[in-house]
Amino acid sequence: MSEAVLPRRRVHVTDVVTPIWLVLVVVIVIAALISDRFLSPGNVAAVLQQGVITGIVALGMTVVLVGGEFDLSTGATVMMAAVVALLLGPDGGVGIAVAIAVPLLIGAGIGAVNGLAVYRAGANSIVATIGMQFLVIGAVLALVSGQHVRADAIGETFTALTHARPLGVPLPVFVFAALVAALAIVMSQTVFGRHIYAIGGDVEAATRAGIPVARIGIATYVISGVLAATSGVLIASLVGHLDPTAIGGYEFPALTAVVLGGTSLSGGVGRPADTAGAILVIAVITNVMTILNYQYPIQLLVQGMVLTGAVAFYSWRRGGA
Amino acid sequence: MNALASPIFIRLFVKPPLVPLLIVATFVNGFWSVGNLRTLAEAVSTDGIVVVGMTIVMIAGGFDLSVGAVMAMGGVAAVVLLPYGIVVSAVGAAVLGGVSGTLSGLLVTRLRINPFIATLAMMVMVRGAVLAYTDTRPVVSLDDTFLALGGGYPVPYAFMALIAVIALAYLLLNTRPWGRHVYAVGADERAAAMSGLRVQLLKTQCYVISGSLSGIAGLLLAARLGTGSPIIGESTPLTAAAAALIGGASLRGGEGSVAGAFVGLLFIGCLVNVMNILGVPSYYQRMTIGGLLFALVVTDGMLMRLRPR
Repeated sequence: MSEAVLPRRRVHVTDVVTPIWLVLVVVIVIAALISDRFLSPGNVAAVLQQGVITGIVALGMTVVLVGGEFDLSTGATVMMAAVVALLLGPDGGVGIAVAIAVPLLIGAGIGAVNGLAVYRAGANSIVATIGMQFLVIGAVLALVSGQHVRADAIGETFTALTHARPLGVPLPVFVFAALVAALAIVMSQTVFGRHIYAIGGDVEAATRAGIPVARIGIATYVISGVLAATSGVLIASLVGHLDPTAIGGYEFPALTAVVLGGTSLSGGVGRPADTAGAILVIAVITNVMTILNYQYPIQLLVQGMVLTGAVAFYSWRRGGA
Repeated sequence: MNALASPIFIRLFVKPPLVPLLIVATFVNGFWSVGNLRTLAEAVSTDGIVVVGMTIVMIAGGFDLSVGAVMAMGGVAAVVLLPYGIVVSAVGAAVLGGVSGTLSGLLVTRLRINPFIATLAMMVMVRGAVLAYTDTRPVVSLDDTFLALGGGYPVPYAFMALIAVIALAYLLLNTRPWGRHVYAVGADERAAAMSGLRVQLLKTQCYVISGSLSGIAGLLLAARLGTGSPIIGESTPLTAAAAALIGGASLRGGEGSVAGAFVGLLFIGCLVNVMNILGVPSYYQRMTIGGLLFALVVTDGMLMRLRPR
């Protein structure tokens, strides 16, 4: 394995300022020029809010993809967590703790099953996690009989969790920032993180080097499941009620961000901080399109183009991978 | 003992257990009625045409997640082009599907993008384009010829089309050099390239076939429903992949057969049909198909580990 795939220990300027952050600055400048509403405090908060929900999902998918695999079940896990959190009726201290813990545990369970299928049984991760996506969505819809979910006993403390705005910034943004920082440290400074890069770089070599590939791989899926569930709980707290058939599709923008942030589709390369940058780029683009009244279909089209462009760009820069 | 190990026996009783399922279905009221069998034939025919394309792509070592979105595009295009005549409409649906397949093929072969990701991106782009074009509303047609195309009694025309497509694909794969080449590319791309096969062209052709067939399937579905809906086909790639996997295709290429995929599709079709008769809500069906695909992919992975290439 070459040195290049290993994360460096000393922090350089280029570690923090990667191309995606420059892209972000450019996109923000263009957005501000296109619409004078863009930089209004309310809109900036909206951009961050939107970015955070998808961003937390994308962080988990980054970890899985650095290990060389995909997790497309995350959108379904988000929906599951939001529905379960609301069904548990988060009221009072214990109630809120349960309403947060149970969805996260189920998310971890879904991740563990994905991880076992991919790393123990050798299943193709894309198709397996798409199968899991349908399994989970079907199960959740069966649980609520396809009905709209409205929490009967939703406590104000639970909704206040995400509506609080210390320093004028929505609390979920702090959660996201903390998760990015934590994952950045885990991925670059711990043995566990370096093992993930090793597995993604070359599974064969990692196995021969004595790295517990299956255990670490399963852990990456568990992380992804828990993070997706976190996103779902945040949605539950933000919205307070939801139509389970209308929520979902988070995995695609998240995947687009992961790839745009420079995570290699073949694994071994990628960093959580860059994914965060890419998430903001996509949130800004989506926001501007909404301001300019380009609705969901066009946004979908543009996301597909961004994904294709990003994959093509990185594969060209890495000399075809 | 020999009979129990024969491929045909396995194909009908074990993987998938189609005959046992049919026997169980006998106890479900109305399964064997002409009306229900016709419903079943209708349900499997459009998906079946897609499955043929998916199987060919999988034999060549690829995958096509865009089939459902392309199907929606084909249906919408067919209805929109109807005023110019049914022939233009049908050709339009097939050609648009073929164009999308060409793009997928180019992304996979020229830009060397992983086929799952390339066709996932195509899926999203095609879906976005169709939703944008129709403004997310279905387009309706009341053209008599078109609606007649969606009928046919007792055997639906769409089912006849499916049989024709299967027969053609079977001949193409098993009697023509082209078919051998596709298997060769899927089994070992480098070896195929070194023996002088035009790997990139062959793979692109497979995606074009898959795209065109999806477009035609979309047309037939639109004819049956009388509408081209921009949102149909969400679970089509799953059903198609599951059928192809049951039929012996693998996610690493070089294996699979159209006949096997057809049996796989019949199995899934009967399963869904029985659930419909029993009034099982659609979300349980979604669960079943998701779970089935998950189990199939796990089996696929374990089989590959047992006999590595």
